[in-house]
Amino acid sequence: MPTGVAGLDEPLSGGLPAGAFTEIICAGSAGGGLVLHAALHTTRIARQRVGLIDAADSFCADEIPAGLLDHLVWARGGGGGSSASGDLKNIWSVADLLLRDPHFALVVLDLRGVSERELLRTPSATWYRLQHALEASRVAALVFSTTAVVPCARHRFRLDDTLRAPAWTDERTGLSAALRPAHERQRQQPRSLSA
Amino acid sequence: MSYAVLEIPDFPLHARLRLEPARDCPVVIYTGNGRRAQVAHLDALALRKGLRPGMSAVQALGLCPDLRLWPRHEQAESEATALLLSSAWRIAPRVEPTSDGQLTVDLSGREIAALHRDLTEIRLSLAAQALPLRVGVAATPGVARFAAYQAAPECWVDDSLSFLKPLPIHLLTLTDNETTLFESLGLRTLGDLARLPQASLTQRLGERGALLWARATGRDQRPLDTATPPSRYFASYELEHPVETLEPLLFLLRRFVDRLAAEVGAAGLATAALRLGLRFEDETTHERDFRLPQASGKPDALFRVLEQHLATLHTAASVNRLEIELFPAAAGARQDGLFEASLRDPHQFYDTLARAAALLGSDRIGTPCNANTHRPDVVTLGPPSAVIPEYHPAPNPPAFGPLLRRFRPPHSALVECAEETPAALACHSVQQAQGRIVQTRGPWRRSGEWWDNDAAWAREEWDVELDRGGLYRLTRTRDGWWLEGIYD
Repeated sequence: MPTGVAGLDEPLSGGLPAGAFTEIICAGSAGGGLVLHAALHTTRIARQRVGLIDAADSFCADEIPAGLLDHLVWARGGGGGSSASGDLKNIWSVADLLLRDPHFALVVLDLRGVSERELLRTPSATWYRLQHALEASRVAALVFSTTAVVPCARHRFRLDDTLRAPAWTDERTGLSAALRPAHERQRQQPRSLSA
Repeated sequence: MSYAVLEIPDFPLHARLRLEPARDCPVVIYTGNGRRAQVAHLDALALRKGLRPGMSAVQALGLCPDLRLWPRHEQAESEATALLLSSAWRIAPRVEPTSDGQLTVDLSGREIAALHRDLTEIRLSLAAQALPLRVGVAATPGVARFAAYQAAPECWVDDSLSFLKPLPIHLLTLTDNETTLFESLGLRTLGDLARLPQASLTQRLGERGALLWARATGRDQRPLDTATPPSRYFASYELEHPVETLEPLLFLLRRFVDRLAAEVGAAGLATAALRLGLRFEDETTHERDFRLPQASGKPDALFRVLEQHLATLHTAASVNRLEIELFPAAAGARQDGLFEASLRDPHQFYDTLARAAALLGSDRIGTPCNANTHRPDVVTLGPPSAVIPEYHPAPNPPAFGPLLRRFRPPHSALVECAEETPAALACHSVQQAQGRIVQTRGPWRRSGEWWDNDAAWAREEWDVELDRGGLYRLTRTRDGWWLEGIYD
């Protein structure tokens, strides 16, 4: 599934793999939001449904042009004493629900803003369970985090904190096109038993 | 062949067991009261323990102390009859409730091959509801009834005379006098009776003789007294023992939903909404209406809605009565467009959203819609649309700059200004947001709703770049400086 960011789509041979996690590590002003915006734009044009699990409730919907979010299901964490304080249980449950639903072409799990300590304390089994759910539904999953947290990610990219003041006056599409994430990990697709 | 008889053997017993299964426990349905109570219907386990129909209830309990003695249950039987009727309407519109647990169906115009398939489907679906079904198909209602009696589990009669010939004569439900008479004449089978001349039998027994002869020869044609399909899809049940836990309640609801959905389906409709009513032991009630995202005929989809609701329901007392009603609508018939991005299974999708909403809060999941205001960060979440419309970009200038990620709520910040411009930032809540400001953009002054003292707002926004990296948005209000977000 193409993201619309050439620096990601090229190493991914066309786009995010279905049924697998792709992790993007980005802290500070690194361009994670630009990747998200580009992916929302691409999927909106293709009329594919996107789920955004916003663990820290930081997504800024009013910054996005009207009509570009008609395909988005935004799940806001951090409310009513849930994940913002570190309790990620509900976020994993919601991720499990959305990743199992084949109506979503892409599920974005934005974990930035959640404490790294809490994230690293998450058992690997949680991620492997989510991975198992993904494999059945064939949803593409994109995880934004500030440190490597997905042990079963098929691809891992790192975006450095490189955005500077002149970026404010550049077109958003141009900024996305200029992103060059470092490809840190590529795992082979696991072979199916029947193959 | 133009009639089918659908029969549930030991109907009062199976109707009750359908709603109250007895696990590894012999069950008997008795008739009569007090000392006159006697065994009328019994299950296989009770038979194995030596119990027989006609025994007194006291005798039965003496033989089998762990026996469950149940009276007939009118609601359970009417539930099972309704289910049987809705199943029968799937094969033909003219259906007569002949007796308890027995229906006669007029099969005129039905094709044999399709009928075979439909009857097997009905038998299997009723078996899943713990109702064993026997089916007899023959040229007349009377012969079909005998065929159902003999069926294991289906009996198709091509030649009525040769089928009836060996059957015992007592199947004609004779009076004592008739039994004595036929025994004295040496008549033991229907074939024996059919060999007698009709005129002489009529001369001896009158109109009754003619009727018995017609039944014995398979010539008893009669018009069916057909039932009318229900106009209301409603079920209620008084629980003998109040229910405290979810499982038995869900079990009963599943039975009712299956029956009601079958009735709605038999009418060529689908369910658009449903209502659940519970009455508790402390005389309080709970009622809830559910509207489905799309009219559905699938019992699974309807049951899931109830299950999901009950899983979150906490009550002070146990349930002693439940009611459920389905509200039908015309089943949606729609051809998907070649490039239309609609939902393949709306029930699954909205079920996913409902479960997520139960975890996060109903106002925290949905599709964002910008509110009609200039106040920043006022976004409401609406239900996602079933069909994603085509994207037509608004003729606005393209979006500039990176996307803002908001801190909700914004962090309080200390800002040092030089010549009315932010020069240094310190924010204790965000570790990276400390340092000298090297670039600024602003101020952008915004305000609104000045006509309303309570809602009026005014702010000054600044975009800043720190010397150690990081693009942030600062806001100054009458309460001070705030770190509103980071550009990413």
